[in-house]
Amino acid sequence: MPIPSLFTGAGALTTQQNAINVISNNIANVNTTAFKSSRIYFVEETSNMSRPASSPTGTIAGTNPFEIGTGMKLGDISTSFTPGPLKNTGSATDLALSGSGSSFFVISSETDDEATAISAPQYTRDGHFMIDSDEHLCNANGDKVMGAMLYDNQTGKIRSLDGYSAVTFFADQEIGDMLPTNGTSSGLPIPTPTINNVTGAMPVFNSSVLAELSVRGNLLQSGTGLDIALKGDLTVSKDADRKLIFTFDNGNAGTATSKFKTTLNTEQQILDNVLSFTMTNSTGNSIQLRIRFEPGVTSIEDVFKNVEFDSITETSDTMVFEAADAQSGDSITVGDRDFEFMTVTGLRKLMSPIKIPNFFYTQDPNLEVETTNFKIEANGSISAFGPLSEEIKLGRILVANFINPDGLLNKGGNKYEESSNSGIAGISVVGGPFDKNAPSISAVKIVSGALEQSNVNLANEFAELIGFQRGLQANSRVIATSDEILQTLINL
Amino acid sequence: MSFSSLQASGSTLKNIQQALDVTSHNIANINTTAYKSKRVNFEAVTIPGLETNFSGASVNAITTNFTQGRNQPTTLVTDLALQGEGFFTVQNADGEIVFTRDGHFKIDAMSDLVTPDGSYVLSAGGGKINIPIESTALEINSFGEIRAQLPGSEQMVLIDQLQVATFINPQGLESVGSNFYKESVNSGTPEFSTALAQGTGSAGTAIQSGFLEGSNADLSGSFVDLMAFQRSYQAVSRAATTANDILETTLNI
Repeated sequence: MPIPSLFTGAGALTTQQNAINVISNNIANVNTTAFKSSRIYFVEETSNMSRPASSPTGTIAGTNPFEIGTGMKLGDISTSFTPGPLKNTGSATDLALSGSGSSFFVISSETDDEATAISAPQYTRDGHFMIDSDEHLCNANGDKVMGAMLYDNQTGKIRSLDGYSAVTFFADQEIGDMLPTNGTSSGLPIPTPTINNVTGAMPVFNSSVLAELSVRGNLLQSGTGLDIALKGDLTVSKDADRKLIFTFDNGNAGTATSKFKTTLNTEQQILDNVLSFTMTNSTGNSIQLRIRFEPGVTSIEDVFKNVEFDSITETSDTMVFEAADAQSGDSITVGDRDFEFMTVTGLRKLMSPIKIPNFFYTQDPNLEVETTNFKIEANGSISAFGPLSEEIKLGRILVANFINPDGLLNKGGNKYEESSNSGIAGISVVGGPFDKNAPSISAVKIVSGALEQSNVNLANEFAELIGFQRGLQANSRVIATSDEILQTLINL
Repeated sequence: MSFSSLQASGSTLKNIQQALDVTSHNIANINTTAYKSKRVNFEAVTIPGLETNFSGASVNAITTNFTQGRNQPTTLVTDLALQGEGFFTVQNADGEIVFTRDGHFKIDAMSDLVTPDGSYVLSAGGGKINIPIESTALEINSFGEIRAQLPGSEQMVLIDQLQVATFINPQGLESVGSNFYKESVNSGTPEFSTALAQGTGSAGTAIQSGFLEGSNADLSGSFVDLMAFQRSYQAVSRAATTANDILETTLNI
């Protein structure tokens, strides 16, 4: 004859054992670089109700429910992403992310080929990096650290930025300070419009897409008396009459008011490098959008004439352009719209492996010098120095930010992968513009020559360990007592 | 001659076992967040018309002890403890409103404040609590007011306020597992308010951010109960064997 208390004790014993496993993992990792401690939470098991509550009537007072509990169970194991203390190592390639626990280095087994999508990026806060024989910045496993590179990994030269799409990427000082100083550059070659009047939001870059003209931001909605921040995706498409259609979808799928649209003639003039227009939805509400372009751009046609889209997919009535293998001259019809592919120049992937070359070209295209030194700054920008202190900016380390880092999958080796509950990795420059997925990036800094230590607090772990040990002992006592009672019963 | 004393022993044994179940439940939950211990009350059972003739003991109430557990620090802003009476209100996956004192909350991929099982924590207005994704810092004060720092600003902006519900008779709440309680016909209807709101049931209730309420189960008391119930069990079983011996003697006359 089983008695419930025996199982109450046994279940609790097993769960307390799990708790001790979590604590011992924390203690084992007290010296692990950038380790994040986990904490276990218990909840009560469901109760057996032997009599429900009854409500008071005129003659009889109410009675409380009569419930017998069946013990406890594991409620949650959550990882605390609070930043750990930094430890100086003196090695310039040892990097620590300080200021926020929800930013991560992006690592990948990516090659220098820029045409393919990034394969399975992983995320780590363990910045113990080194330079391998291929000049890549990588970790001890050989995973390469990703960033936005001005240095062309294939030609070995700093890119001339002339001829790339005129739309500014990171148009402001954030990345401007890493550009060569010869005045010929026009921004990084990523064709993503900059939205000026957004509140606290900047583009999100999908690292696996070559030519996506998608911007997410918080756009201000006017006409309702209040300024309401809208979040969503902006897509740009071209119709059969070669007019541009801008669609902003705030993501409330199925509601008529979620889509804001405008159609602009490609001949429309751009004044003072700024194109501003109003988009309206079906209920007449409107949002204002301003896109700033490089000097010299006078019409929309100028902006997009060099942009080729590789393929088009249709999501409801929004067009999204994605990378695939369409050829120049191909055309495609989606709905009643006709799209034609053109030859693309200057579109490239946002992220590539970071390389610190042994030799680099100075601003004189014929003068190659040896790298004698390099530095990694707090904002992640990497510069190389030649023998005569010639300085060249190579690129910038990019970081991934998550809304819910606790939702990441721990892959071991201090590495994490995205999960359905972590939110999508928001890629951005360190301390740079905010994007939708960067909760606390403004505080983030890269510290070169230091490593983040484990955030395990030994005193807390020991206190918890004692608590769980006592819990385990108490429950084994329950089991023993239940056993003795069964014995008494059997001896009746 | 009847078998009444033997039957009385049998039903009493069953009742002692229930008491033991309750005590082991308390011991099992010694480390459970915001656990509220339970107590068993016995009553003497009499046979109608023969009130002097006791026929054993039975459990007449299992009461929940809602005294405050000790609030323990965790360092996470979204770990909340209630100091004083009342409950956080939560909407579970079935859309039901349930109540909990376990304030181990987190922010999910949609940036909503949720419990570990994915139920939504409700605000003073009764809706979900959404933390702006771009917030750079978060704080929750003793009134349960959630403030976030938004980019480009030094100021903390008020985002929302947590709801706190109180009941006339919390003992009447139905425990539905996973630290959640449900309103019952005898708990009274919840009074929805906020922490430290004057003139409401939660006027004396403060919210502590970075803390979780510990279990209020008392290990030493539970062990004493455990021993006492075990001895009672032995004694009653002895009564049963004695009754059996007497019956046997009688049958052998």
